[in-house]
Amino acid sequence: MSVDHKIQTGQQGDKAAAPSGNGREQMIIFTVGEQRYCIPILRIREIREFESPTYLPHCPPYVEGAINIRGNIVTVVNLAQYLGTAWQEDNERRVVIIIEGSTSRATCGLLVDSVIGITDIVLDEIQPISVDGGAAELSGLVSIGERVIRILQLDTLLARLLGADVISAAG
Amino acid sequence: MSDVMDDILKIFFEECDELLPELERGLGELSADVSDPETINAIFRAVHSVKGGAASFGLERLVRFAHVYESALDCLRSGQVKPDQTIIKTFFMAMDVLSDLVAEAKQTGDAVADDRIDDNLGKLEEIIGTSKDEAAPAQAEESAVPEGFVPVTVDLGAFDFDEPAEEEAATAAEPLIVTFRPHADLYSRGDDARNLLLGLKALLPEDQAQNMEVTCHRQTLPPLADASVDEGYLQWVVRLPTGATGPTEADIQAVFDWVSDVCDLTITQGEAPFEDDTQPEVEAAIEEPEPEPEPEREAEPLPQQQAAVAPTATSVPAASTKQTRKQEQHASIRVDTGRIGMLMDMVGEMVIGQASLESALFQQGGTQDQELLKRLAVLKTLTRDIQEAVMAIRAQPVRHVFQRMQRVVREASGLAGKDVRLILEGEETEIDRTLIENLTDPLTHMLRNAIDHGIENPAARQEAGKPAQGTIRLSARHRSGRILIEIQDDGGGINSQRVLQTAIKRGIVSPDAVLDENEINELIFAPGFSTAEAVSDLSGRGVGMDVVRQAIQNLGGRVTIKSRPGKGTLFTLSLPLTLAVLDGMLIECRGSVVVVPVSSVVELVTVNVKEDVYHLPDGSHVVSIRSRCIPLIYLGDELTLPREMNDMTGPNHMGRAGEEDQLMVLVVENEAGARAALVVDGVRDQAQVVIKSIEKNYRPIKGVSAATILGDGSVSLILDVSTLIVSATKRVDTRALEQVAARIA
Repeated sequence: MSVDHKIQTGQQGDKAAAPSGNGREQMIIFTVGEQRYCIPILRIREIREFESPTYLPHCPPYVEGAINIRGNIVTVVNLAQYLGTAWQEDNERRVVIIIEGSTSRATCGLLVDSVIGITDIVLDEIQPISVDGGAAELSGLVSIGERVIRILQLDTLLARLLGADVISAAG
Repeated sequence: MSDVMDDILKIFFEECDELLPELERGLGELSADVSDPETINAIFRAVHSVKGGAASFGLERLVRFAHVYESALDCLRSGQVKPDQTIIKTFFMAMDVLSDLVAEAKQTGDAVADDRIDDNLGKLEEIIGTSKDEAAPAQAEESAVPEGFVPVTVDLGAFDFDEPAEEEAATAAEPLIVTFRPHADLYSRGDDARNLLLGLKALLPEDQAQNMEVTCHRQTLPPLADASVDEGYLQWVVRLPTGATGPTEADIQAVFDWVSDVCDLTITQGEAPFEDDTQPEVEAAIEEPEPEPEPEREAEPLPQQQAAVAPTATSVPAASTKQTRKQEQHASIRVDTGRIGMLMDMVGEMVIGQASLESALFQQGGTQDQELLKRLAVLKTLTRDIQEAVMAIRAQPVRHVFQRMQRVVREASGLAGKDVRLILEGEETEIDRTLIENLTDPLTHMLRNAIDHGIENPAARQEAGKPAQGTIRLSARHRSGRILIEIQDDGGGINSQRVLQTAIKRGIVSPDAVLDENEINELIFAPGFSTAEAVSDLSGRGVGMDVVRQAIQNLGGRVTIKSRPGKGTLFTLSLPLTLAVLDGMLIECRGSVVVVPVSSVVELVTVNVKEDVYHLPDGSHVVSIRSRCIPLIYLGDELTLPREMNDMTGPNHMGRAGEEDQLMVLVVENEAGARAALVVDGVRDQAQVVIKSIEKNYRPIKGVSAATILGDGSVSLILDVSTLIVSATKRVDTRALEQVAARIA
């Protein structure tokens, strides 16, 4: 993943902790329920309004369904279900973030409650989360100001969608 | 750098894929007793280009074989050998070896056995051998050299010769005079006269090297203002001292072997005929012998090499016009199929966008603006035209797969000890590329079957009053938006009694079944059916015609069979023109719209829940339609579709076919003839839908083969009827189903 791209300070990003240079990465912050999460901005293809997807048979509970993005069938994941947290009822600001795998060309959509903004994250400040099973939903934690933000492990999610991990995903 | 080479190598293999079919087609035309020089040239060019390309990548085995092959073809080209059946057969066999060698180099095929190569080389050399005797007088004529050249002596000191230029008495034997004139093509291949001179020098023993005399004739060089930069004007005369250790004429020929088609060459013993006229004028360093800038060097071989140049007389204008014409014939570009796919996707989106624009306009109470409507109609036509044009890009003539079948027939008939001729018709018929790729296996299997089981032994054929040589006709044509491929043999037809007995023996039909001729013929498509008593190399490996039918059905096609005992068998494959679209029935189920391929739909009927539906002890259901029992599939449950909020139907998941106790069922059939009834809520439409992969971004879904995008931009799933039927029939008691199957068969 490239980190030496042009640094842009996000509107709501933490400017004090954002000296430009290497070893940092721009992330987009969003909320799911009461929690804040972030993902690298370079993995994002687009953000669009939530539209009712087509149900996919035999899908795990966190799969909302499939939508059409310019001729491609893209699966939408309900992140609240996936992460096991509650989601906000009657939320008008729900959006779908379309992301792309780092190695595979697979894409999927993440249904989130709202997008907060963009921030610069110093990679050294990320506290890794070690999980015995290996396939973790999160790749690390990072503190911005007083809040702890969770970094989503996208490749695990994509691998589960593609069926590499069907049994554990269903369990 | 290695990446660049890999890319070039890839281009070379792509070219081989084009050249080899061309070679095959050319050889096929030879069989017709017409030896059109253009055809022979095309054959020669193909082999030559393969050789040239292979040489630049150091593919030794390929080069060695192609070289001998080329030499043999050269004898044919020069008319020294007449293409009789044996020779053509040898050329065909050699072509098979050549394409296997290409596959070997590509690492897509197994290594070719050395003895097979040697065997074929031997046969090719036989052809060359026979031609040599007849060739002697012809070569004498070629030694005429254009007169009046002004030779230019070249200082060999500037020519990498490290030995000091010592004057020494000429050897006792007469020197060999080598006169050569490179054509422009030699330079355009990236070769150089210098390489030839170095090659000649290498023939000489070290102490003789300085005795080589090189003269450059620039008689034909026009004034610089008139000189074309792309032409070669210079002629070289080389005096090679001979002697006990000196080079022979054959050695010299070998040096020029690579360029024989783009370079005039004369070898004479003794003084050159024009020696008296020579007036050495200019001493030139050999580093800059050409007045023209050297054409850009290309590592890849030129596909359209001007191969057929007569040894002495070359009319330059004629050659260049010929070249232009050739290039026009093959004006094409290579495009990554991924890009075309992308274009298709975007055009698909454009169609949807156009449709949604139209519906938005009409939803607002319908616009009265005539001008707007007119322009919308123009846009609509244009969109459709673009869609068709993009589809056409993917279309290719079936020739590519048909040509390959010649080899299949050749090999199969060789193995079976039968003489079979394959006639191709309608090779120019175009179908989608993906279809072409997927047709090879089923066609191969069907042709092998036709040879193994259809065509009789030559003796049996003559007894039946037929020619000893069997004929298989493979034809393609368009008919009402589909493509029909027919495979017709003039063999013995299907022995229905034997087929029936085998089917009974294998338990495919019950012994007391009464079947008509057609139903019996259909049995050969049943899984596990094979009439061959002994498993032969050709067919009868247990994967018989059922695999063929499966493959064709996967392509959205159908296979039908007609057989006349003693006269032959006709298989007809009916295929869609493209795999990208499908004729689908849009059905509603619990508020979702799903697509069922029309090809698998048998009928749509309404059944009475109380009278026609039976509950089986294991919880599954069957429905009786015209007293035939068919497993019932509640599509909503099968696909775990979420229940609608306003869905008032009870726990029996009944559809909403209007009245109480009524169920609307769609009867579908898979390739094996097994049926199932899908409970649906209604039928919305029938439409051509564009097939989209789900598996690119998601795992495979049981019961769903793909998805599509409807006119309103929403995603709809395409049912995999085959899997649905299999899963339904597994639940139902298998014995009951066998009875069902037996009744269907």
